[in-house]
Amino acid sequence: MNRSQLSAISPTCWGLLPAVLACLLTAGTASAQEPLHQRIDTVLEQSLTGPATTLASETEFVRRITLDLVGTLPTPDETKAFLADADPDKRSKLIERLLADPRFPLHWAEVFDVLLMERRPDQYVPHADWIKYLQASFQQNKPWNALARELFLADGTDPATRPAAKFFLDRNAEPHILTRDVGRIFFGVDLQCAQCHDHPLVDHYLQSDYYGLHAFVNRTVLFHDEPAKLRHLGEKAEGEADYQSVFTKDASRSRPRLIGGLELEEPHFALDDEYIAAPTDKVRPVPKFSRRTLLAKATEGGNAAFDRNIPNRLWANLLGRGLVHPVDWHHPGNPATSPETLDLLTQEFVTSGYNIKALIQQIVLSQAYQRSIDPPADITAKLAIVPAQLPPLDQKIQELEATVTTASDEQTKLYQEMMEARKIFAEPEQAYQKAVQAALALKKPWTDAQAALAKTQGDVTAKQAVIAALTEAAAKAAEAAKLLPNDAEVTQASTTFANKVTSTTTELAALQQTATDQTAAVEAARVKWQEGVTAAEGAYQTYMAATATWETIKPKWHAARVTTLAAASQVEALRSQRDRWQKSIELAQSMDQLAAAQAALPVAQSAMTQAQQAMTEQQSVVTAATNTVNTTTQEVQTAQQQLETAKTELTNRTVVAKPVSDAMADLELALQKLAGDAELTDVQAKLKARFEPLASAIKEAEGVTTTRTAEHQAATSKLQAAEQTLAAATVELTARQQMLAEKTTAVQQSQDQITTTETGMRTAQDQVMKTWEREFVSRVEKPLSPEQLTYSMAVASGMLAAQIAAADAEIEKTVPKASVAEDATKLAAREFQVHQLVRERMRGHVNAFINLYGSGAGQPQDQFFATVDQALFVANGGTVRSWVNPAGNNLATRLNALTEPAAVAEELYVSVFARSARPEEVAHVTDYLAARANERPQAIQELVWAMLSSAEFRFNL
Amino acid sequence: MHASYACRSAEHGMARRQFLGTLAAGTGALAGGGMDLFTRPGITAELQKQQKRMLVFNMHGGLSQLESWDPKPATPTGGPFRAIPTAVPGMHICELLPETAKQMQHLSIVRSINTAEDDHGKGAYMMLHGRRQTPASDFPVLGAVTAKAISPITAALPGHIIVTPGGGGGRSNDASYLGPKYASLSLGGGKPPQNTSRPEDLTEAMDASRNAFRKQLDQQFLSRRRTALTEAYTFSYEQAQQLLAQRDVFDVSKEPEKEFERYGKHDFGRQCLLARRLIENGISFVQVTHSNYDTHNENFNFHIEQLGEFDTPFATLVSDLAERGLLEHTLIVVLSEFGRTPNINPYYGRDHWSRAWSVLMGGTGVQKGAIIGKTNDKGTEVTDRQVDHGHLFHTYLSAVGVNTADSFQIDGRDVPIADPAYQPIHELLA
Repeated sequence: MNRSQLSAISPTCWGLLPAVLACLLTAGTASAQEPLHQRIDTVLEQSLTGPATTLASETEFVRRITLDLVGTLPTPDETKAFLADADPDKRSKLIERLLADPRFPLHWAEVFDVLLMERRPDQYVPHADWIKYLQASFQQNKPWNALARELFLADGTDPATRPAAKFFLDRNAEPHILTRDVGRIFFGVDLQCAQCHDHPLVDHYLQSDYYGLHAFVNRTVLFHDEPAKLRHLGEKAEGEADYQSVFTKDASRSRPRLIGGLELEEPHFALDDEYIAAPTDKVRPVPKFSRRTLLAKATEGGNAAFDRNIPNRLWANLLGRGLVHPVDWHHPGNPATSPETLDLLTQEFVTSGYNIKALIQQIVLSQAYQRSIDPPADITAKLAIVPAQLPPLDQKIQELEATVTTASDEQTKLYQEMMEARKIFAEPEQAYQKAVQAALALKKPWTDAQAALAKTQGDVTAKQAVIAALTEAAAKAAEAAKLLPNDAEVTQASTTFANKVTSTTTELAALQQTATDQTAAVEAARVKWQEGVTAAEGAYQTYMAATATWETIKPKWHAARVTTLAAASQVEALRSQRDRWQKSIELAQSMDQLAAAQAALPVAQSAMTQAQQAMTEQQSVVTAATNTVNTTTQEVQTAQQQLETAKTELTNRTVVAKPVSDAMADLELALQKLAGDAELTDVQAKLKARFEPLASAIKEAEGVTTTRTAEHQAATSKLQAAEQTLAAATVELTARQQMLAEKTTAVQQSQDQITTTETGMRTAQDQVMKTWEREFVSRVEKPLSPEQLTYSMAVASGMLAAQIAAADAEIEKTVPKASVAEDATKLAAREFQVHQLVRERMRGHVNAFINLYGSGAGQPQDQFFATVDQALFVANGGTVRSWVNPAGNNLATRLNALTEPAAVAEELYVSVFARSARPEEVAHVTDYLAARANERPQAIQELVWAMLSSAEFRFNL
Repeated sequence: MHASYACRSAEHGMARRQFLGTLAAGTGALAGGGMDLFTRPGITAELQKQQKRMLVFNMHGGLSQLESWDPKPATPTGGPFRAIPTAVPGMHICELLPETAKQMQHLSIVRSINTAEDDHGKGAYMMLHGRRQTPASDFPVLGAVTAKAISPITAALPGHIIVTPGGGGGRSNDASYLGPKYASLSLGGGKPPQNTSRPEDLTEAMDASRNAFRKQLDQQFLSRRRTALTEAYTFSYEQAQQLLAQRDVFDVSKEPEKEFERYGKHDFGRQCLLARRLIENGISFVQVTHSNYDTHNENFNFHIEQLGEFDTPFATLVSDLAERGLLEHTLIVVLSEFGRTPNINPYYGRDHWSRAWSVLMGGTGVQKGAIIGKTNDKGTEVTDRQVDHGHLFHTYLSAVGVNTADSFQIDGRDVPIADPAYQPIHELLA
């Protein structure tokens, strides 16, 4: 079913959810005889996706349980005693002791103060009275339903129960604030955004839910009792919870309706019979039928939202996170991480008679509560079974989605019928409202007439008093006149009195007549008003008759909605379970990916090494080839030079021979012309003889040149060959270099892949760890509340011990310890008194912490934030600094008295961290003190301060 | 102030007090991946310079639009003052603001506001929260929303400061569901924020020494348990150390004497100078209140007096921010809870008027020298582009880079940053 379908259809009951889910998920068949804490652990173990982590260590446990049950750090003695105790049952015994500790009710009174009032500033009921009321309630372990009932019913008029009226009074009885806060705080649903229309983000928060709750409180008014200077709660007999959606324009009206329930029946009184005390300026209105007291129905058992709200909140307080979280956000889209566990807690809570203390005990006895904050050590085994989980879940989800669609279609159909049915009574309703207005218009003449009559009657009474006085005076005057018959003045006075009596009596008669007339007028007006009332009653009957169809359809629609919600809740719970398994699958996948990436790296690395080798080898080949080329190049150069030399020699010799040869040719020509000339012939012979050695020298030079040319050619060829070899080797080298680059990149990529998958794996791991924390297989760190932080700092610094001693001395004045030493009950009562006084005196300090560490007034108080001004307060503020200064037998004093650094470290760690110092921590402390040997007291204060401001101190682990 | 006004609601007694996250505005800074930020060194100076900021002037009591941004000279409702030209051709404002007129090239006017709420408290709530107040709901104030959306998570200095004449350095309760981390810190009364001076017997060396030991403890702890919560907590002490080192930021007396002369040696001048100092040092949201404009009697005399005080320091501040390049990153808003009646009453006063009034804006993210919307000749009604507190709230935040259609994640719930029924004034955005 999609959102728009769900929001178009409409109303409430995720009441059946836990039971249905319990059947659906068939989680475990834990024996009913087993204590609740064991059943919780069984259910959690069977239904959750992660392996459970180990239990917290003893030191963590003693700190955790003391903070949670009595609101403070354990004292050094408490820590030491617990650690030294060899009893295997010491955890449950400590739990029992702390539940009986006088600090238990005092701490839980503060927890419930914050839960109920959310640190609103005082309006009409002082915090001091209120906290005493809560302290007394927790001291007698008042059942939650009884406490809630008192909060709902108190109107502030009875001093004994006045503090209980704080919830309503200090919200100024403002009906919308009350609707929101009653919904959130008592039923776990924040309907604020459903005031003007069905909730825009939550399918199942309907405007009709909002106004169903609103109808309980919208007649409640703040009444100012001026003489007493107090505000009380009054309630009017009229005022309807009418509403219209600003989106759909659908309009309707709701009688009081608890979350998940049907509209409640309420008696009808005629207009003249609605009040026990009708409202006036001076009269607090008290109706015959109070809608607000109807809220107490929730406390009578059977309202699932009411019943599971406190179990979930107690769980959230103790484990750092609600099974449903946020705790005021119960709706199908936000299912409990373990619906079965919430169901178990709720059942136990109800059957135990809403016993808060008993439920706390069972929760803290569970392993779920006692787990360590460290994640589970071995997760692989659990991950291996994950994939098999999804198919059956998906199958169930699909089946249920069909059910949801069918149910929501039915609900839509009935909603339309219901809206149609409203039309039937639209007219009678209007007629009735007109009749009421008409009747009310007739009431005024009647009350006016009554007022006039009352005034006349007052006048009559006054006049009668005058007549009585005058009559007496007249009698006395007459007597005086008799005694003094000659005194004219006296006679005159006597006459005057007598006349006055007569005239006044006449006036009285007139007044009495008026009164009679007015009495008749009152009666006439009353009759008219009565007629109006009767007419209104008639109109009411007609109206009621006309609503019959509507009233018949409403429960049907409600039933359809219950079915839809139950189915939607199941689907969402399964989806949420599926998401959690999915997170595990993602983790398993990313672990596989990481393993694959890690396996791929050596392969890539060895390929890179090979490429590196091949490249290196080739480099030497190239080097050799280069050498050859170089050598050969020189050979070519040498051959070249020799060739050049030979050529030059040849040229030289040719140049020398040429004139001779030319001369011989010229001579030949001459001999042809002068044939036989002897001289010439002789010269010719001489020339020939001269030429011959020249010619043979040329020939020789030619021979040398030929040889040198051949040699040069040979060298050149050799060079070419060498160059070819080098080129080929170089190409091969480049190829191998590229290969190496590729392999290097591959290694880099492989490494990157590892980094990426590692990051992915860590993210997946974080998600899974968060999931597991949500499933309570490991613990979350809980920030200390402002109150816990104050008391813990006071305990750690030793300041609180002094406060307790002072309070004890104060109580000793009225209840000497010796006087009650024999009587355990009285002794316990005395202890309670002492610690109550301590809390009272510490309130100023607590408020200083609340100002900085508490969320805004009227906001939920379970959000963590860390601000600079908190840190500055601890760093430079007077409060913490004064506690750290040596005084009395506080921590600084005790540490100053210790000479051994190891002893200092141990006392420091036991007092502030409630655990022993580890060897390296002892070393740190020793070093610190050694470095500041001549400022030891300051150094000790600094150490205490550093520990108080550390993260380990700030959180409950 | 100096006047004895006819309207004496309780609120007039005092002025109303009302992380790289820039880019990821609206995502729950602490949830999820933001954690690494704590372990990194502080953001770079360049990023710090680009950090968006918002500077709001709250003209407490109801500034007259006719004597300021929407003058109607020579009409029956216009009053005695002239309209003067400004640095923007065609744009005229009242002659009571001659210095501001010279800076209008940096600024824009929205003249078409109709908030339909004439009650001081309710009007102020709407203008500073972007929504109407309802009994059962409580919304964070503009400064808290801005700080949450744009303050770097690593910022040591607070992101939301209200400069008041008598501020005491304390935190107020105006952040609603965003939590006290974003609540306003009041400053200006000469007092530094609480606990920002070391006790006399604690030397800097001792403080450093004990903090070193604390860090050692925390490192050991964080190696076992490192979550958003534990990181945020340990980081808050680092921030405190940084803040102590920078505490002069809050001390306006460190400004040179000539700056006091430029800004005027009166409360408001000093507040403007402090505002400049805070903006320069990267505070995300600064609000200055100028009181009091509730002029049921002698409207004109009091506007001469009040705006006479406002004009020079305001114009100096605009000009300084522009010259220093800070206006590129800073949005300036001059708002009020409503305007004043066009009708002049028998006491020469003007009463409350929310049906047609103006707001001034300028700087990052908005047009320069623009005029949005119009009122009729007498200034009694909006005649063009009517807007109200909802549009304006979206516009302010959009101008500093916040996607106002987004939601904050509050404890697992989505909470819209601004009223989803509205949108920003798109044509005003740059």
